[in-house]
Amino acid sequence: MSGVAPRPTGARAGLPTRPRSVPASPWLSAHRANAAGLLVVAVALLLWAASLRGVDLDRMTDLGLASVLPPTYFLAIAVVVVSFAVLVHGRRAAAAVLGLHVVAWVVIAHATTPLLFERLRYAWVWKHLGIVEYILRHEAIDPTIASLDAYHNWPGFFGAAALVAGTAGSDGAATAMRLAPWAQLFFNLLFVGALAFLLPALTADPRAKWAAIWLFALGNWVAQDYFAPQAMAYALALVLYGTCLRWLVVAPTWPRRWASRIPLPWLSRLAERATVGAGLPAVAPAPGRQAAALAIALVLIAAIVPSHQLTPIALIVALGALAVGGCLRTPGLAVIAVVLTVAWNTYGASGYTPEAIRDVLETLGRAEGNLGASLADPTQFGPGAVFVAVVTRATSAFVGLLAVAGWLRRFAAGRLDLPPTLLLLSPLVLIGATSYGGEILFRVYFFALPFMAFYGALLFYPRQARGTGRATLAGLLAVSGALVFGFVFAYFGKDYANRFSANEQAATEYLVRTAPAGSLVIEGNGNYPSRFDHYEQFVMYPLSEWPRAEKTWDRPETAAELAAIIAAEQPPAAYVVFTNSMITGLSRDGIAYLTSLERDVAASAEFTRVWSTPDARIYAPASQPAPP
Amino acid sequence: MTPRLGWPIAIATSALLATLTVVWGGESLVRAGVVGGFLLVCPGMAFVRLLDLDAVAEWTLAVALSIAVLVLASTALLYAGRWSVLAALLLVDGVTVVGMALQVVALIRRGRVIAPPRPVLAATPADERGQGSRGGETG
Repeated sequence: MSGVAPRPTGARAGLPTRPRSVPASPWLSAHRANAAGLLVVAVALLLWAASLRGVDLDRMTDLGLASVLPPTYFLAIAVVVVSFAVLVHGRRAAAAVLGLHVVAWVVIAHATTPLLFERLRYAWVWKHLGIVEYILRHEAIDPTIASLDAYHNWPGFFGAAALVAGTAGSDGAATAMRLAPWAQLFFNLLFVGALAFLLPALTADPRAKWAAIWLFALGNWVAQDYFAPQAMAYALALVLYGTCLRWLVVAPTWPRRWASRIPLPWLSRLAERATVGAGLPAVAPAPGRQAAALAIALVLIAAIVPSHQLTPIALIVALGALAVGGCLRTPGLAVIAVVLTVAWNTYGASGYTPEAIRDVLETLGRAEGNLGASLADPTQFGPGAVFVAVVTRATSAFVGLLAVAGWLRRFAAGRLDLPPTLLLLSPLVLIGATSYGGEILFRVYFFALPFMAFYGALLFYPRQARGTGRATLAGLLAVSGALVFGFVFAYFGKDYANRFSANEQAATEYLVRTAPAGSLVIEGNGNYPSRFDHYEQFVMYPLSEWPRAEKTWDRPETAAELAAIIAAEQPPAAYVVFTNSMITGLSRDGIAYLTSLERDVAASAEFTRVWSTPDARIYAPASQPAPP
Repeated sequence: MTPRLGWPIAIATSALLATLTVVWGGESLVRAGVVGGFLLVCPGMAFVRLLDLDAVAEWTLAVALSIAVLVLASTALLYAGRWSVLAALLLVDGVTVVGMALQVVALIRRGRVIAPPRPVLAATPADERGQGSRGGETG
């Protein structure tokens, strides 16, 4: 039988009916669907590979990488998007074929910059390489170190990365530099794998599962997935959530009991009808399986705690919410997460904890201020950057609205999934707790994204018998298209500022070769490849902080003032570094300041240019002896 | 009949090859592949294979637990002041061998060193509670 079965006679509107059959697509048999899907993925990847030839990055505008990508790149994306939506909706394709579509999108999205860019993007990733290089060189960390001390107090990721790089190549630091550009591809594949592990605990509908993975991959524009502790900790956290949801979470019964006490009859009926945690196991897993799951959860928490500052807090909030909500078979897991985190912050990260606590206390409860710290003022930037900022915010809001709409549709369809609801909402607590250096909004979005994607998918497929019409397919296509549009501008939108040249890297290598230990390095700002080699031997002094607020100290306006700062510091040697990428991405005020200062330094008799390429210039006090 | 010792043997071989490759030295893609494959899969897989999971769960947990083992081994050695590439690798080797030994012991105790093929379909929560994903309205 094909088509939608008639509703059972006498069925009252809104009450559950027996599952209706899914309309079969007579032209799309399983074999045809799989073959067509594989062919489409192959064609899309070929189109993508061809599109990368001849991309001229020098023509990139402030709209980011999207401004120079050819139409074939977007055609490759369109092919994957349409094919995925049709195959998911048709229910004919094998899971492996759908998985290949997700992998194809991840490759197209996250392997593009490693192939196109001359050097590793994101200035802060170069610092992470510097920590790996430090560990490989010293075979140790220094929690009391003056610079980048947080990384030495949460060294888990860096120790693991040093182990991988040091074993994979004879020159570990060079190996790390070769591997790091591919971290985004690696971590995103890990994220989607973790979601494929997690989601079957929440839904038995493969359409909802794959649509959720898809929406997650398209909505992950926030770029917290590069070579960094948070990407690894996040992947482990997703697997931890999956472990809990599959074996340690139970559907609580109290919401149903409370529903009967709701004074509004219609709401009470609606709430009673909702089957709490429908996708969760009704019976407890075998004790051995539970014990194994608990052991896995403990190992994952133990690895997350010494690796990243924020993720354990997010975990504590999430596990605490599950425990308080009566959803955790072993509520002690939340307590263990607290104990491990406190223990690490007290002993392992004792050199840094007072500073971190001070930051949290200063921003505690200031949700508005913490939100504002995450949002740069777009009026200070060019029209392209303003457009990117608007698209970024609109994309985030759109994903949030999808989740809200999906939650409501799921509830109206008779389901109240308490565990994912709690996991969706728990990251919001972080907004009131800390600004996290102005990044908290992005982190909250990132932590909530898997569950926003889950509810976004339920907007289309709230239950197995629903969402079978062509309107659903059209909706999924439209939402996918909107998210792709948002992604290419939000994710690639600042790449004109994240792109560095070999000459800029060479400038830092020049300093490492020639500058004596303890040298003062004054840099326009930190947006260039720096601190990746022997970083602890230099005192770095950025004149302006990038990309958000300007520094509050009295910055030098002229070469004479700069010379006075150097004289007051009395370093063994001093250098002033300007590179082209420092200018990109700055506000109008920042650009005017740095260009004016460099012009003054270049013309000043107090400074001599000691290194110069088209992309990077290094000046030293004229009185300083020339390096050997 | 499927030999259940396949994974323990593969893990042991991988550990041995990775360690020998690192001790031998040199720079090659083979070294990166052998070592990367071992470090990112085997420590976790050595333990996860004890659980009889579906392929997605098995591989996801194997990679996640492998990364966790690398983190914990490196962090312990860093704080003990004993970190070096070789020491960390040997510690990871040791953890892997323990997991592999547990696997072999479990197989022997279950009398499943040589066992019938495992079911293809996975044990998702829906399956565990006796409702396959096609077993009605569970979504």
